[in-house]
Amino acid sequence: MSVPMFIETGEAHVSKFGEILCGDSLSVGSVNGGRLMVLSDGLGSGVKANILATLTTTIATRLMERGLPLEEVVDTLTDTLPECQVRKIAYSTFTLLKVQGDGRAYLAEFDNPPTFFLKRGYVSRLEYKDRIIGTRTIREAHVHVGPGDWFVTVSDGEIHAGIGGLLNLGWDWEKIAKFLETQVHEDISAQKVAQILVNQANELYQDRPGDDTTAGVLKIRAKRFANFMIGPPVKPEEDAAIAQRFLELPGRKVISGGSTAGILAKILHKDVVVDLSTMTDKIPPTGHLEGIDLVTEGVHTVNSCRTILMNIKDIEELSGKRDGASRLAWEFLHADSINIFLGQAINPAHLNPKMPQEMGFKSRSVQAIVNLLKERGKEVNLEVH
Amino acid sequence: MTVITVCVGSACHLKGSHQIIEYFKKAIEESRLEKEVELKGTFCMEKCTDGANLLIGEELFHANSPEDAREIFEREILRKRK
Repeated sequence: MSVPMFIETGEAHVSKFGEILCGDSLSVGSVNGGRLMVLSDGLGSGVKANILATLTTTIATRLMERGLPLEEVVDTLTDTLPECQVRKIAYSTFTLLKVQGDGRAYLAEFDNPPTFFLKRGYVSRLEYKDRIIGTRTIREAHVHVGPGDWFVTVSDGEIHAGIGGLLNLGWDWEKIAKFLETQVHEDISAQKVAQILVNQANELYQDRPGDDTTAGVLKIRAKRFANFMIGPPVKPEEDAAIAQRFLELPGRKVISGGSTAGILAKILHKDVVVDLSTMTDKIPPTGHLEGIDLVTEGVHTVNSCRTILMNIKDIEELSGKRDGASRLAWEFLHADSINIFLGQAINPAHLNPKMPQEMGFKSRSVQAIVNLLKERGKEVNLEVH
Repeated sequence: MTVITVCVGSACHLKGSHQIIEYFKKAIEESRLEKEVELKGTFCMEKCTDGANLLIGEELFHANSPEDAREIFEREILRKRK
């Protein structure tokens, strides 16, 4: 069986110097367990370019999501886009990129720079065929992709970066290709690559970009799975069977709560060792258990993790943090698909009227985390035992 | 070597196990017992209703504050050494 694939996306923009709105638009959609990316560079700059480009990407994305053929997409764009009063044409460029869950990829480009395709770390040329639709010549390519492959698509603002200034002829496609080969590796995110490309262009423009500049990145990689178990099942006789099934799932294993750790330790015939150095005044320490990637305390860690997930923008904010809540949040954000086993057995100590109410809110916090992760586009499967 | 094991589970955390651990760390250092007393953590001992749990060797104690912990440390560690 082949490894399940995941397509990660990233995008970054910088506007032409003096403009507030970017005249490029990039849109990401979903299709057949895969991804769709559409880039358009609107005619001119500022508001008008922004509207043209946004119309183009929105229309193309919606039509492609419904599976319409390229001809229909191009015709619809020609018929719908407003005509430029100065130039008397209804025009904007586009790049349509579709990668399906089975690895089939399709690319159509009109008047945008050729998309960079990286395989095993090197840019390789795509075999394009020209297709004429109406008065337009569109380049098309089909290719089969797998984990480790990247698509990087840019507007001409990237290609021209530095023109007439730091670089006589601008950054140039070939030079960007070489640059990409030095930047792209397995552990870098699609978003980071997009940001690096745009930042580099902005530097070449000496912070005064001569054109709207955009980079859109698709990173094809193995799908990441995480499995999270918190709380023992209501029926203690189910402990072993549920824990066994949890252990057999593919991907990383994370457990929270003392009793849960105890159940897993028994099955694995290992001891839980607490690492006191990870303790903070709010968050109890994490533990080690051979065969499990992360062991944390239950309710306090999960509550803090929920607060982190409500506020965090980028997973990199968690780098170097060792407390249980940050590491739990990292596991959730790093994964694409998360299975959560929530056990609802009641710990008698938590019913003590002297205990703060939040002790009883574990299930509610887990539900809130499920929602936060779904909002971030994660696949989440919650099982309650 | 004597081992002090403090529970860091949810309930004991609320009852101050963090401060109790901090106290023991300091107390061990100040009495220069690093070579004789080791401090460890453990998750739930399933005696959650009785206050922050700790073991000295195999014997179970409860502490509700660093004050309690100091009393236990003096009685069970310092006096028993002499």
